[in-house]
Amino acid sequence: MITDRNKKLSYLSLLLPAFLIYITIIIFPVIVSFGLSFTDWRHFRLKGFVGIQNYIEIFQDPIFQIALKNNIKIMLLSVFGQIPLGIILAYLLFRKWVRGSQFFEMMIFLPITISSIVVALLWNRVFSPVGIYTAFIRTVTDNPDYVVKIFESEQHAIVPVLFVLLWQHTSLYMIIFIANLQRIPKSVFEAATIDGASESMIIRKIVLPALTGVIYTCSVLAIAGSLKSFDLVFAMTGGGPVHYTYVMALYLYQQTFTFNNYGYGSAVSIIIVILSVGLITLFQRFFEKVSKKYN
Amino acid sequence: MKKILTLVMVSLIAVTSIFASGAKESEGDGTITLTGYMQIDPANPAYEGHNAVIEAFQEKHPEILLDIEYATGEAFHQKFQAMAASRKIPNIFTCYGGARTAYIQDTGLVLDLNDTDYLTADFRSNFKSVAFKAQGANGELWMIPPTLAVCHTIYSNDAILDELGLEYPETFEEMISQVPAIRAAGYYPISMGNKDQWVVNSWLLSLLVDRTGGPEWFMDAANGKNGATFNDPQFVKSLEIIQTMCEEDLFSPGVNQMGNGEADQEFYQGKSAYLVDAGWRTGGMDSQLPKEQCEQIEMHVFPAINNEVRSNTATSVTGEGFGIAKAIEGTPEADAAWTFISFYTGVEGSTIFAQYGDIPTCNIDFSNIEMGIMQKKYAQFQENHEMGYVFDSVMNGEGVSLLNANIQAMMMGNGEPKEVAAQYEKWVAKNDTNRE
Amino acid sequence: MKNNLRERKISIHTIAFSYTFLILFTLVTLFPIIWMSYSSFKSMGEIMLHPIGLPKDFTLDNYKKCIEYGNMDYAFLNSIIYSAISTLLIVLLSLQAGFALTKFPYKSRKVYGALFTTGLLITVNSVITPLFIMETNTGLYNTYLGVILPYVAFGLPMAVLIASSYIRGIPNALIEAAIIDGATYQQIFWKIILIVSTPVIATISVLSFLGSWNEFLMVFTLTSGDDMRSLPVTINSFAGRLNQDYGLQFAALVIGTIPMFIFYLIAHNALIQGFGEGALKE
Repeated sequence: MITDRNKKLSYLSLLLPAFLIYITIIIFPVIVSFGLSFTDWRHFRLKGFVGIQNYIEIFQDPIFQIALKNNIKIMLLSVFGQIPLGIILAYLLFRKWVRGSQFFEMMIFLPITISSIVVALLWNRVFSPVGIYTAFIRTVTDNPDYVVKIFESEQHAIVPVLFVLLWQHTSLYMIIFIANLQRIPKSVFEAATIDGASESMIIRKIVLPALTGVIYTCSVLAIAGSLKSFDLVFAMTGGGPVHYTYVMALYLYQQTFTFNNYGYGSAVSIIIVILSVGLITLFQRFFEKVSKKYN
Repeated sequence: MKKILTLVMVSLIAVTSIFASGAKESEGDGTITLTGYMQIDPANPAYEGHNAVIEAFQEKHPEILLDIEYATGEAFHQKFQAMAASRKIPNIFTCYGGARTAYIQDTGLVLDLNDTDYLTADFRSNFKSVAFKAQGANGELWMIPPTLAVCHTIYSNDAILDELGLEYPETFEEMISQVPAIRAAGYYPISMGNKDQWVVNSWLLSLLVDRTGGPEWFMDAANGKNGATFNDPQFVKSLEIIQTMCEEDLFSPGVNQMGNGEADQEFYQGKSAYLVDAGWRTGGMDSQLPKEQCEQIEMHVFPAINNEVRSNTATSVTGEGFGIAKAIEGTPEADAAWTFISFYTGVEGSTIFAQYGDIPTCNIDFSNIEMGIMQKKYAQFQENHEMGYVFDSVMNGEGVSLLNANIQAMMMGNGEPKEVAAQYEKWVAKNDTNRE
Repeated sequence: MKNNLRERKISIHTIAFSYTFLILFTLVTLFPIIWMSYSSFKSMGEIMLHPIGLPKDFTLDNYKKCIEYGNMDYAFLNSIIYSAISTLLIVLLSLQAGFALTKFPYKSRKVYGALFTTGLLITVNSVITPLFIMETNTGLYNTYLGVILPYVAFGLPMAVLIASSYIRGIPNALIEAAIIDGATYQQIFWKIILIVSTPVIATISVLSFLGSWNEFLMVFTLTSGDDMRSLPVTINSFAGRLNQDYGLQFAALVIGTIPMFIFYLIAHNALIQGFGEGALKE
């Protein structure tokens, strides 16, 4: 017999172990960071409270503004590029439209098994001015001065990074979608086939509604991940050339660890958190409206 | 069942982890253990020199055990800063002369060697005076630099020069005039790998500033004395030279995309006539290139500039050395640490190092040492040129970082020398600790 | 899958597009890896001078140096320990939390849920220094637990999100039936939820294992001994700012990547099995 008290105890015993670990290791230091963000603490000398001075300086810093723009670009790519691509690939493989779908599934998944540092290193070796790709193009076009120009472009230097991110992360969403596609009972597909439904009808009326929850979850993950993005950019461009490929996490790293501006750096981390919360909430509203329309 | 399994596993881990945190205490049998934290590249050829010195030391002093942890690059600093924040640092550790390790120097964690009686006249006589130059703001000496690192060299590929009937240029104008001939033959004039932005500063700009302004002017500008600032024409001129080099196509096309290792690769593959790099690249050249190729590589400095204040100079910094933790001051551990340091930096250690690509600050007789071809040239080079300052060993890292980014933008055509100088001066005036 | 699903008319365009995309993707993926692999058998000098061709002087030196200088055998073992144990814990804890957050009627679950989601937004960089200080003061520094607990903490937000999303879809009827039969919630968790959630267990395991295996900063900061290092830390030590020994780097990278690939081959089968079982239980 389960009494109310039993129920409550069960609830807590299921929830708390996870929650306690999480709180101690993540929430507590973040609160400390929050406090620090209002101080001027550089070079290990605490100079006192400065209120929101750090925040103002951050938003006025042109480097931060570039970083913010780049993060937004990454976010748009993740939500509107990686997720749809993930769905398409998942569906493609799920419906076995090509032979050897198992092999291709493995290939698509391979990029994410490689650490970002390795990916960046490889990518650089291939496309650098002394890399294989450049050597190839130079021989083929007989132009010894060829270099991959986009790396130096002020507006577009982030594009190669976006490309590699797409390559790396699409599979993440793909496997989540495959898992959830598997949850749709086969009987539903069979019934639809017998009723003579076309592929696009199946997609619209069966698959997408079933995946709505998952699409939402993945989008949240994508938004959060894109604002946190660090490893790949750090290893691939280091924010360069000049500041063209900076992202907020890199800015935070540089301020905190290279320049030792702990107070300032803490403020950056809080800004990242607040922006993420804001964007996710906005997205939630947007998503609710859209799914109401279609349901 | 699963639950029990989990519980067992977790407890196992917890138990083993208590025992796995090996904190070594000194055994009571007369041996002293020194804990250390060192920044090094295990894959750098110079690392072999370090290993060899450690081996030799352990042989000579079996009563001192070294327990050193190694870390590379930025990760070294990150962890060290965390250690410093909790005030728990090892007995000996990599310490820079300048501000890069301010987080231990400014927080009172490092022993000032001037406060000890280790620096006897006898000890001092073995070294070049640069080894004892003041490091801290109040004249502190945090460590003995074991090596001197030359930070500007222009290597020439004499095979290409001979082929084109050219010689190393005496003036900057002459170098520019060589460009058409070099490019017509399908080569690049200069390889330089500025992807990481600091390269153009450490290995080129600093030298140009030494030539256009000289060391006295530079220190004045750094400290804000005698009315010198970075808006002065000397500094602007050094930036203009870099801009001119870009406009005259002196660099290979990937100058801002290549890491310095890749620029080396370009030069080694015989694609360019000159290479801008540091003096210590000689170690790598000796180990990677065939002897015949090394014989055709010569070391030079930047050619003469119109109206230069100094001539024929290069730039150098003192290498990082071992600092001693203030916490062990006066204990046997500190004496043991000093024994180690004097071995490492003294004649014994230096003789070993010299074979692996470093130039020691200790005075040693090079004629008896087996050295590679390029290494010999490096030792000679060092004797033949006076040395100037390197920017990032004097100025604050944050400002230099911003300067370097702006220089890169200028090199790509997105900025002018006067603006770059003005922006840098603005930052320094407001933030740099040298101006305090 | 039954034939009548496969026999529908798929346009030739779709098939052509699918094949082209997949093949291109495969090439782009495989080529750098293959290049890196055979380059690891070249000496540094050869890589510098002849980067593209196959090795002329095949050498195992780089691998030897990896093990000698870098203690890669220890690193490998440690990586397995860190990743496996934290993955196990993440799976268990996230499913428990997911169950609690979706199948219990308490209002507080919204707060807990929101707090977990915030965890997605925190970078390791921002907590690493306070974490280091905490661990040094509680003696967790340089221990296995000292790395595993943070791995679990950072893996939980995503895992809880995925688990919640999935468990929400488990029919309440299943649970109510068990209660009527006299089961406690703990029993329901172990005997029903866990069994039915095999697909997400597979997904969460793979993602957590991956995340932990390739993680660098935390192991690096929170451990100090050679005997505690993981693979990424060792690989990174060969890639210093001034370092140029690409051969050594490549060898280290190969050692670091191949195990992951093998793991995926194994886990992949588990994934398929997991999917198969999960889908049939309706």
